[in-house]
Amino acid sequence: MKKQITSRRSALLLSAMFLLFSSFSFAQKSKATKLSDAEIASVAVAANQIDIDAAQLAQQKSKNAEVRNFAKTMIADHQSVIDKATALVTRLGVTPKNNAVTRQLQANAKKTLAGLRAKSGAAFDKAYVQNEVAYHKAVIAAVDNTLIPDAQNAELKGLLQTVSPVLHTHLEHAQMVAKDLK
Amino acid sequence: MKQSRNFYPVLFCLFAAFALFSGCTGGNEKSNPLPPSEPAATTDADTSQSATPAAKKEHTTTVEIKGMKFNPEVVTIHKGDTVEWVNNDLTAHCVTEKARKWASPAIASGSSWKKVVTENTDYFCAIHVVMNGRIKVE
Repeated sequence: MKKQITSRRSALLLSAMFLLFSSFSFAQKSKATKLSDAEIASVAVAANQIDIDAAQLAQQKSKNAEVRNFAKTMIADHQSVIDKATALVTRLGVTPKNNAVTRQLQANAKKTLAGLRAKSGAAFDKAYVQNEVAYHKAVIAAVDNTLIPDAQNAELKGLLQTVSPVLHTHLEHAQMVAKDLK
Repeated sequence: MKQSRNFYPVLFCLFAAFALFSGCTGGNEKSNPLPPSEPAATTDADTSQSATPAAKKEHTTTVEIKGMKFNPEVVTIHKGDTVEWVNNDLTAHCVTEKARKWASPAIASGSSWKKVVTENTDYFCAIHVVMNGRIKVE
């Protein structure tokens, strides 16, 4: 029943803006599941990689300077977070553990990327940036309300706390670009 | 004749004094070379600074980049002071004058960049365009 409600809600969102689906699902799922540090590491790396993949697509498809600059920043910043997270878990001897949240994130991202690949020109720019706004909102909610409180290791918690303002800045940046595209 | 007899001792004393002075300087150079750990560049920089007649002291104001913000966002300096941006953030940043009259290269995490500022300046990070700062020159 709960699953049906979630699907219906997602379908409505899909009709309005299908790219939001992955983001809302991510926030809801991660809130309901208590994650271990190894799982948090896996989710963190996957969430960052997903945004890098979308940004790389934007770099290939977009001709808009503002969009391309935003995408360039996403690639650099999210890679930086992955590098820091990987270095930390390696030092801590924690092996990122694949889990339901990571799998759902990756499955939804695949759909999102497919949707973006089907678009071009201004429609692509708009869809990409709107997805970035929604995705960062969802990731911020997940990091602030789930990943940080769930993290057991102080250094992992500290890293996530450092990542949070980066995500907030990305959201603000994406909102600015979205406004300029209107 | 009397004059020339007095001249030789004076000349000898002058020569001896010169030889003694020269010998001390040379001896010092040989026996007290600069410590190998002291970089030559530092010595050169110190020399050039002390050689500058202007007694004006260089003043540096530090702006820390942390939490995706310039801290403090507004600094007040004297004309010609140096502003140093220290990046203690997770990601690279840069400092770009609002009208793009000048810009720093990307400042990597853990690095810094500085510039002498002579006029009121509004700036931002061209990588994260929502990050802004201001320098007031008084």
